Amino acid sequence: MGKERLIPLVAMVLLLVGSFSSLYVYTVEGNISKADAISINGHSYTMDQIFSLTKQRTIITDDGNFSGAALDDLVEKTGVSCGSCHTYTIIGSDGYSKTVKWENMQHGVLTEGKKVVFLNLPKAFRVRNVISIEVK
Amino acid sequence: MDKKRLLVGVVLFGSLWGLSEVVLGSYLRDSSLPAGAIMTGIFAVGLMMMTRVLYRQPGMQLGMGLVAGGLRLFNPFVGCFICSAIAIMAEGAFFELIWYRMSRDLNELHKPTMSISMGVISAYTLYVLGFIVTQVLTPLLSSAGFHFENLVMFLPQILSKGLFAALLGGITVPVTLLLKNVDVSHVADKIYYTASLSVSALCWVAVILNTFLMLSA
Repeated sequence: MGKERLIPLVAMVLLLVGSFSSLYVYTVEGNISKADAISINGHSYTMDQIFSLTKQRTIITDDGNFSGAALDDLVEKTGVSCGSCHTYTIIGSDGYSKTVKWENMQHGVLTEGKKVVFLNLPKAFRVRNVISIEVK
Repeated sequence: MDKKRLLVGVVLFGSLWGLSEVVLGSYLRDSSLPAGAIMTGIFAVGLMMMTRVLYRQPGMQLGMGLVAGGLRLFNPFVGCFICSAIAIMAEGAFFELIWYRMSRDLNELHKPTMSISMGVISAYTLYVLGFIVTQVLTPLLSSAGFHFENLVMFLPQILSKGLFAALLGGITVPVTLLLKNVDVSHVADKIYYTASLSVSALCWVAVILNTFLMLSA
């Protein structure tokens, strides 16, 4: 197949991949509950419950201060007895997820805006609109 | 064209790319605009394509990626700056691979279908692969480590976000081809070197000043 046929074909395939991925993402995000709850280790908690259960923490980063529920305290209060024995996967409503260690959780917060921020990790580890924290 | 002219061209366009990533990229991110897609679809593809059209010399784009990535290292304020710098360098390398089989005079692109298609392919591939490089490198260089399942879970989002970059690339490449009749080898040495090196120096000074300003803020 010559370049004149192959190149437009490849471009079409890439556009289709992008379009179908957008459709998939739109469908999946549309199905996610907009309820004010986060699943932690398989159990559902409202933001009010989370903030009444856990101690607060403020972390100072190079782009501002972030206050919220201390992540290590949150998993302990929700039934994890050995924090350092597990890793933790934070999942956002858009499918963005990051797996972190206990030492990271000890410097992380869940803000009222449902955003997770870590003091000792790059910004790429910030997960917005958290829907789940899985304990592994 | 002699090698000295090409090298100065690499430094000039690489510096412009680096400056746009540091200043405009940060501004777009702060404004909650699709910074990655805009930076790749317009600036990365546009500037690399511009050098392909003006200099007709493969290999320059890899050099531009190295210069732009190097400049990015001087602005350590947005996320994992080493990862961003490597991702920019990788974009230069991926561009070279995509355009490897194209002729130097780009005569294959005389039809709009071909130029639009190459724009789509370039922008989509650079965006998706650049994103993946960052998603792999950032955790690898942090205390949390890289977890493959995190990347797999987010892959549909990456493939989806690349669509906007692809559409922008489909416009950028045909527009850049309008420069096809410009011949930089006819620009007098004195003007070429003075202008190129002055603009490059300005880019570097602007980024370094920006760094000091942020440090003192």
